[in-house]
Amino acid sequence: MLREPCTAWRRHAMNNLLGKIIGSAELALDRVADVEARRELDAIIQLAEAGALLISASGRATPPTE
Amino acid sequence: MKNKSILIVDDDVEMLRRLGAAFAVAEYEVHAATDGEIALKRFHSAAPDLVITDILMPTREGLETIMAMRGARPEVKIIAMSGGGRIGPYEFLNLARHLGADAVLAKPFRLSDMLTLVRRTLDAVDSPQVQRV
Repeated sequence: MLREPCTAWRRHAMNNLLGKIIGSAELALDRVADVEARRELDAIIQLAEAGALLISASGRATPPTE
Repeated sequence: MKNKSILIVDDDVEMLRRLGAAFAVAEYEVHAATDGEIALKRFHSAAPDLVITDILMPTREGLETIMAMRGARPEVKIIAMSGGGRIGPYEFLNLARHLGADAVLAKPFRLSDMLTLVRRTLDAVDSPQVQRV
């Protein structure tokens, strides 16, 4: 659980990183025919997108109180 | 018929490589630059049909680059992309749209979404678009 909201810089860096993960998986999908491998690449894309949603939500979150 | 040309501007070379690969497969002529200063030189020498630019970059950042390109060639299509950030109360991507970007796309995005936006922007006459801001 994140205890502090993401700073703008961290969000920017994380979104850039997730963008590259999604892009890599998409480029790999263009070259891979194996069904299982394609399923895993799809999962990587979806997980990265879920990560982006978490980052977006954490920017709005209030830190938990002790 | 000549393929449409795209200038991609991003200080992240890994991002440039991925976008460049996706556009090359889609048979666009691809030019790349790692900051706004280099981008302006490529912009004048290659005269691309469309520019995709990141906002936060060294030397000359994206908003300034968009204004310079829009001033030099009002008809050029421009897409701004960013992982987020703001100047005061203004989100970078909203500012980019106000300063002349035809469309904006928030990172992270699927390459397929960017390809769709590029096709739509190149086909559009003069209708500003916003996706996932």
